[in-house]
Amino acid sequence: MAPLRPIQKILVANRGEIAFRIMRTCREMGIRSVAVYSDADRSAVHVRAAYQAVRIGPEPSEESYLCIEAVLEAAKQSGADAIHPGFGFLSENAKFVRAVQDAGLIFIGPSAEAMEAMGDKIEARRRMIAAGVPVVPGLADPVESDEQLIEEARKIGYPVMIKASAGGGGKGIRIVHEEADVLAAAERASSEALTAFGNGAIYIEKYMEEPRHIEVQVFGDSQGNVIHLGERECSIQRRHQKVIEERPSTIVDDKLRTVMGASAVRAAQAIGYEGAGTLEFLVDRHKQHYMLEMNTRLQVEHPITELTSGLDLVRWQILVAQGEPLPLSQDQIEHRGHAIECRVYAEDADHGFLPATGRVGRLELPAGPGVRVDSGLFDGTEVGMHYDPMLAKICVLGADREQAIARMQRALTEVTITGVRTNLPFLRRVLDSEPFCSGNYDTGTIESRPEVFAPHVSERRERHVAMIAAVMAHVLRRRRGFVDRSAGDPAGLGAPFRPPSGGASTSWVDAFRPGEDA
Amino acid sequence: VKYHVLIGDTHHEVDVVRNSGKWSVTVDDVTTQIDICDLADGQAYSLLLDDRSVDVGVEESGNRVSLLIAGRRYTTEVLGEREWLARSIEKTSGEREKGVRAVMTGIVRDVLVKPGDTVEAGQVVFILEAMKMENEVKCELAGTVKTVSAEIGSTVQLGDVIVELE
Repeated sequence: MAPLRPIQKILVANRGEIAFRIMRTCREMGIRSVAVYSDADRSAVHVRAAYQAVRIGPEPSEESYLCIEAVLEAAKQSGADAIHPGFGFLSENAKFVRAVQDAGLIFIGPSAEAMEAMGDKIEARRRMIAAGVPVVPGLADPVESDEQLIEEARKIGYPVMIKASAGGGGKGIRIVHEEADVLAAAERASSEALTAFGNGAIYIEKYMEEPRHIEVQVFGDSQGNVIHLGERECSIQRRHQKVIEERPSTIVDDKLRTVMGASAVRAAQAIGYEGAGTLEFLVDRHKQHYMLEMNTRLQVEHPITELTSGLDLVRWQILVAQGEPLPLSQDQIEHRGHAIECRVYAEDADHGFLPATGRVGRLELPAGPGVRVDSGLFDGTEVGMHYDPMLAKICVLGADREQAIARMQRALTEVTITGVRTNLPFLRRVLDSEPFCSGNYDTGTIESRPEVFAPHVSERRERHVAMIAAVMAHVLRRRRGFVDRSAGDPAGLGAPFRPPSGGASTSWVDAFRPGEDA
Repeated sequence: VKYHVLIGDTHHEVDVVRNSGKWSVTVDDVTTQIDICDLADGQAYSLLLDDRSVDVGVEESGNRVSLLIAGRRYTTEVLGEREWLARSIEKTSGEREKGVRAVMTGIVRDVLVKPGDTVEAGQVVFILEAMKMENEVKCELAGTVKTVSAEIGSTVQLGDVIVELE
């Protein structure tokens, strides 16, 4: 069937790895892509991957990637007929959707009405209860006063969770275990939400203990069809920020998958949803599921669904936006194998996960059988303080969970990023840990068992490290001392090794393998 | 050449000797022949420890040497003999940090103390924001606030002293 509204050129209103990922599909579909960039991103991957690129402002995102006028002006100037928002930035901004449509362009995503229905968490809760979708116990309306907050918290019972009404990405969320902390926590959550989303309204709900965070991918089209593409297990989190996802979940069997899928489809149908969306659920010990919220956009972790289903979700988004029906029906969806995603964040894993900034020196990323890397990194990337700290996603597909874990452990040993601290050491520790390997973990595992995930150097390995550190320091100090002299080779280093042209990186040899104590 | 390598709380003495094109490195009476190949202008090396192959990313800042090996990071301090001696003398006089520093580059969102306030160890003294996340910064020691050297909304660099105690 020919598309009703064929798309020729897509402006991607985003940056870094997700903009690049969307442009890759555009290229495969013969659609031209347009990048927008701030002054900090002239050399970024998304600018280089695009067919055209337009500067939209200075480094702060408020003046560039979040500036609706600038994005629309770029679309006009470049001749784009559609806009893909990626995730974050303007992707869940209904005002933006309307502005795009008012300019006569196609917005690749849901309608402004569907977005508004789900974007306000309090309104969403009402709609979902009405549609018969299970939700977490709590107050349906925003908290209006300190007295009300204290009273409601008592009613629900500690621990409680304070959440920004307009929240997302772990921002504007606080968990409170006792009454003494509740007011201070509410103030922090509100002020964080005000800075991040321009809306400081907060609400309160029961904080569920030992819950699993499991989400369901849904897809709708303009003909009213809605299907689901199964679950993603996202319980490995720090500060409510997802770090590692996998699919299938170790606790979801066919029966639960069918039940949760039906809830997700019902939720999407209730708001006439079109395009890609995700229903987030908490699943408790008794395998009861409660809807948390709907993300009305592509998710960061969509690649693991793509890996097991063999589908390209961005392609589906574009087809649906062109007015085409979903390419497959529910019973044609099949998943094979086990997929895992690790998010590489610019966070110093060994020093309290503080945001890290800097310039990437040496960069090596994994490849090989069953490995997919979606990355915004390149040699010399400046990681600044203005943008999201997620730098890259490393995904693997294995025939089963055991192979997927071994493959991810292997892939992580192939990574070298110097110049910017990252959470890689932490990712390696999680992949080697008993809770992850056994599949027996929940959203509190990382924070409640710090001893399992803390940096640790075994005695035997320590001797190797001391030896390498000393010889490296010696070589670097000599190198600095002699580096300007052309005579001979005083540091005894020989000529620096250059990879063959084409930039192929040297491959990893199997030293310091997972489980092997050096 | 003798080096003192500090990894966390532990200390190793390491002897590094140039030996017919390779390096002889001795730690705890065990000597290893190391062959070194520079991969990226001093930022990454391929090492053969006897015949064991190890790729190492290296970051150096003063005496601090961070090694990135197989996705893990090892932070060490490498001191020469003289620096090690100086360090041992310093240690006995024992001076602890009196200022509260910015733990990252970011924007000061809130300062919760003013000069003259008494603070307790572990008390939150200011809020820093970077990458849209707010982080509470606590003081290590109890004391009285002497100065506050950043305004709300200002950008500060990693390591800047924001609140000085006495």
